[in-house]
Amino acid sequence: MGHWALVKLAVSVLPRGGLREGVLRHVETCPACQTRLIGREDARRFLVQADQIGGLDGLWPAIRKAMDAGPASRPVVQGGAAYRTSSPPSRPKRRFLRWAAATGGLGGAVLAVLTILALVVPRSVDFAGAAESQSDPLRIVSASVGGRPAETYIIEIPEDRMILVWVEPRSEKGGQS
Amino acid sequence: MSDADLIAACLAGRREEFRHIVYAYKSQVMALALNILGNREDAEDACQDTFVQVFRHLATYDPGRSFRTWIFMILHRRCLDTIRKKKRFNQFFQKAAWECEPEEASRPEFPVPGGVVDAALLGALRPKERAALTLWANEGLTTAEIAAVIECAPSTARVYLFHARRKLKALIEERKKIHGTLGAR
Repeated sequence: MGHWALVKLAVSVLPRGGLREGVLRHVETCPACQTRLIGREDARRFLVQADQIGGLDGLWPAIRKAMDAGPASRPVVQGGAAYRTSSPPSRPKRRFLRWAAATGGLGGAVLAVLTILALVVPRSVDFAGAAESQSDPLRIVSASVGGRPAETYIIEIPEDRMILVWVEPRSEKGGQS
Repeated sequence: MSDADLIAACLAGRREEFRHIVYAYKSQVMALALNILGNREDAEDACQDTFVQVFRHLATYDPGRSFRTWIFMILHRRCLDTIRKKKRFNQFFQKAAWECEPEEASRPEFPVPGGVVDAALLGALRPKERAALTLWANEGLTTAEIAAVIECAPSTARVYLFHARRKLKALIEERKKIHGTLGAR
C-alpha cells in the first residue's frame, strides 16, 4: 500500500483523537501529501467569489420588511458559541402529535384487520382433523356443516401443488368449500 | 463605523444602521451560500433569513468572538436546513411521482447568475466539505474558525477540509487526463 493510500485510509478510518491528529499534522507538512491536495488558488477556481456576486439590490428591502414582520421563530444562536439553544416550543408538541397519530393509526389498522378476519372466517364449516403421518398430507377425520355430518372430498392437483377440499351436507342440495 | 459601533447602534434602536452590516457582509454571505447550496434562489433565501436572524439576536452576540464567524455560523445552519428540507421534499416527490428522475430532481441549477458554481464541486463534495473549503479558500479562515462556523471540533473541520481538497485535486487530475487523452487523438 502506498504512502498516500495509507494516509487516506488513516484519516477515514481512525477515530477522532491523537493518532488521526498526527496523520493530519503529517499531511500539512509532508510535500508528497501536499501534491495530492488542491491549493487555495486552484480551489478558488471551483468556487463563487464574493466579488462575482451581483444583483443583491433587493436584499436590504426584503430584510427590512422581514425585520418589521415579527418576532423570531427560529432557534437562537447564543453569543457566537458553538451550541444551539432549545428548539422552538411548538416542535416537541408537534412531534408528540405525530407519534400519537401514528400509534392511533396503527391501532386502528390492527383493529380493522382483526374485525375483517372475524367476519370472513366461516363459522358454519367445522373441520376436525390432522395430518397423522408424513405420507398423508391432509386427512379429515370428520366434518360437519351447520352441526350436521357432511361429506368431504379431497382433490389433490400435484402439478399445481394444490389440495382442494370440498365439503357438502349429506342432504343432496349442494356444498361448501 | 466599526462592526461594534454598528451593533451598538442597532441595539440602541437605530434599526437603519443594520443596513451597513448587510452591505458589508452580503457578498461574502451570498458567496458562501451559493457554494454550499449551488443555486441562486435558495442562496438568496438563506442569505435573507440569516441577516434577519442576526438582527433579531444581536443582543446575544458575544463581542469577544468574530462577528463574521458568527454570521457564517448562522448562515451555515440555514444552508443545512435548506438542504435537509429539499432532500425530504425530493424523497417525497420521488415516491409520489415514480416517473420523476431522482438525479434530475436533486441536481442543482447551473450556471448561477452572478457566479458559477462548478458542477463537479457540488457533485463530489458534501455540504460541510463545501463549507469548509469555501471558508478556507475564499475567506482564509483557520481550521479553528472553520470549526466554529460548522460547529464541530477543529480536528473534524480539518478532516472535512482534507477530504474536500483531496477530492478536488483528484478531479483536476482526472480532467487533465481526459484533456490529455482528447488532445492526443
